[in-house]
Amino acid sequence: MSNKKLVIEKKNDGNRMVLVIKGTIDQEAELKKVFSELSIPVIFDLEGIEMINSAGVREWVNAIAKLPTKTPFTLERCSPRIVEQLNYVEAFLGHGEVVSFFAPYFCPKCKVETTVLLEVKVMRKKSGKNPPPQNCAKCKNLLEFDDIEEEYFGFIQ
Amino acid sequence: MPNSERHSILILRPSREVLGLTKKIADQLGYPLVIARHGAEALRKAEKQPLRLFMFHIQDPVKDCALYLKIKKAWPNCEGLAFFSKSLLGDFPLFKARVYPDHLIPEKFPEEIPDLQVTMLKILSNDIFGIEKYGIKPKKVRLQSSLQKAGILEKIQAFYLSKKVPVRILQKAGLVLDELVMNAIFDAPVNGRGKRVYYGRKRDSVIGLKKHECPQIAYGFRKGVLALSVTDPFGTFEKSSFFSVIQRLRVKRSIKEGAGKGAGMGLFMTFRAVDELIVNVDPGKRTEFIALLRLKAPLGSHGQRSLHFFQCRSP
Repeated sequence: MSNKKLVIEKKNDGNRMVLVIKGTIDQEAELKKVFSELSIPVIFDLEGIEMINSAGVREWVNAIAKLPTKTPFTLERCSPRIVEQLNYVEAFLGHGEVVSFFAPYFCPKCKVETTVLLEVKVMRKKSGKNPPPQNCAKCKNLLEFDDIEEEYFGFIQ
Repeated sequence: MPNSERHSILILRPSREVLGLTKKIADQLGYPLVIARHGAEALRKAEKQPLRLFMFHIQDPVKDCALYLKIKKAWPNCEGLAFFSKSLLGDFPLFKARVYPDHLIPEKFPEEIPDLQVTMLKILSNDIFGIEKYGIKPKKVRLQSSLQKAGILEKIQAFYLSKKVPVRILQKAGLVLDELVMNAIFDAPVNGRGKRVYYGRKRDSVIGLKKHECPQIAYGFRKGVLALSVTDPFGTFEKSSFFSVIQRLRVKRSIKEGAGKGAGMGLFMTFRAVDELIVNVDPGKRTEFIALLRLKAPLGSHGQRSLHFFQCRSP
């Protein structure tokens, strides 16, 4: 249960802006102002998003719509909470592109839940909408994918 | 509520386990049980007696849903309880026709049995409210202002952390509680003329609730299941709102953000997060949302959510 405030860290490496966004996106998230000031290619690092509520979805969609179409952007290291929105909310992605995301797995032997970072490009080439096999870091046994495949990977075209 | 009008329970193609339980509860509460082997027989039997409950497995969405529609036309107050399997995807004609069963239980034996038991008891006794019916001994807290929300969420978080609830479930529970509380503050309150009081307000507005507007949160835990409920003292939530969201879930239709205000988006996200969602409504008096989240769903059962809409009947 997350009610951590939203934290946005900006890192400008000259040619592009990296926005690391962490915490909760809710009715108090003021994304529009931050996003509207972006004028160079942007990478959104979304690993730290723990919760996004319906008011937060509205904030996000309105803010993404404010990004000029000539400003390219990618979503990287998307947390499972972001993946859910990508699958169900039209306009959540805007004119952007998803590069990578975390997928939930479960080790039946260790009884431990974990997430694995997956690349969209690699999935498109190799496994499509099937979860790629992964091994437990501890016991090395095969992990089970811990969600509904057709729902979770639905956003991969 | 005694079965003074001699209503019956009609059950179509029951499994052995479901039949056994249904017989037991029907006997206990004084309801004649009528069994049908196929749709035509169900219709014939439905013509002969008033029905309180029709239970069926959705095997063929077209035929079974058409049958339910006919039964509903004959007995509008009859509640529908449908079992469905994971293989049944897509648009049900039932939902397109906006004739919804009140209860949808996924076939995942043996979990459907306790779900069916509590559902039947609630329907037939007309005693529908309370998270306690799901084996929970809850802690309760009343919310008086939107400013209290964060603090209450933190308190509940600490409780679940002490129960070693996995982070993934904790995040889902946080979302569910957040959405249900926001619904209770902004969408549910109506004035004496039935007009919504805080509906148009921005969701970050500070709302100090009047004494008669305060929702109650209940939360608890039983082995392997986290349970939450939010009850508002208005009872304005409607069955059609509930099932339009379910239909979106079933067909995995993407939602257009910005298209609608109010409870739609939040409910959609709530339904996505839970294993079982129960809505209890006493029209004009109170609405209770109960969310159950399993800490570890059995393999292959993801996405099979059990959904219930109960409405108090006049005595």
